[in-house]
Amino acid sequence: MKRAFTRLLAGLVLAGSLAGVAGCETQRGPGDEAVPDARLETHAVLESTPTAEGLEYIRQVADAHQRADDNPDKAAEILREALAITAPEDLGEAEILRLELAARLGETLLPERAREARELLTEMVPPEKSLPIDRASAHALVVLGDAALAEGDDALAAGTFARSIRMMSLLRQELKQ
Amino acid sequence: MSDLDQDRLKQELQTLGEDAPTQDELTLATADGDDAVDVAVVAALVGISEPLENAELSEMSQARAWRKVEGRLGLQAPRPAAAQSARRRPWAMVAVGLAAAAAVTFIIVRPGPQPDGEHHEMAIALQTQARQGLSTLGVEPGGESARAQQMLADYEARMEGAG
Repeated sequence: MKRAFTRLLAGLVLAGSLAGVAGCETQRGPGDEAVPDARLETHAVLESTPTAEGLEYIRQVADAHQRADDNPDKAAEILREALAITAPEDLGEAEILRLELAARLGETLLPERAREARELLTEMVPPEKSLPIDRASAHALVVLGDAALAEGDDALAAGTFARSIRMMSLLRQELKQ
Repeated sequence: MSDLDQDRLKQELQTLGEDAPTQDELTLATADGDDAVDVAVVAALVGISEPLENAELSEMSQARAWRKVEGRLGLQAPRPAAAQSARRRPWAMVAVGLAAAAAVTFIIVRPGPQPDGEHHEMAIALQTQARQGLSTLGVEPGGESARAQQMLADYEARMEGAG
């Protein structure tokens, strides 16, 4: 009974917390304090028609991940270079690959270079940008939340984690279909 | 939940004058792994669907709702053994918790600036949930490389199929 009620209270706190942040636009109060922004726009990723350029891009990204695995000390530099590669316009998979690169780069930079991680991921997954319904989006959002928390920006962290949880809920629905 | 824990649970309920737990309640109480995430996510989604504020909720109504929340939390106190409570319905605790969450949200969550401590605690709680969710989805450190390789193999296969 006690355990069940404890779990209920935990769910209550979580529900209240998420209700508190969900749907809030970033606002500034009289004390210039930010309010968590939990907006989440999403879209489905469709498979693109394979092209030689698309194949080359995916190969370059896969190689970059492999090199980062083999050279942990240079991983940040390798991943940044991979992010700088221009993806073919018609390659739908590029969006997911870039989010994966950014998430991994962010984790590599944390915790010592939290500001760099935050700046990178803020640009990749801002609340007003539609994100693909994919675990790469959830991953990138979580890493941004980690970076924000490391930097002491609790409002950004709370809003971003809430967005990631909503993304994961969508993913679980997709998996169950 | 082991048989020993179940027996202990039943004993505690009996001491409080409560009915024995139904199978649904036992399932809720022992949810772990994916089930715990499901319960938490559903609770979160219902919480998200609630409006942040209700302009029609007067101070008196807010105070009344707060007393209700306090009253529900006070249910942990033992009841007289002779009292016969109404038969528990499945999901009753979940419904009570979600209703209380909505009431607490009206009262506690207000637009505008909040003390830093509240945002920090919220962020920490959400981080824990988010990390657990990632793990459930199979997102693990070092998994990006394998996924990129898989995408490459799939893309090559589609190219060969189209060619």
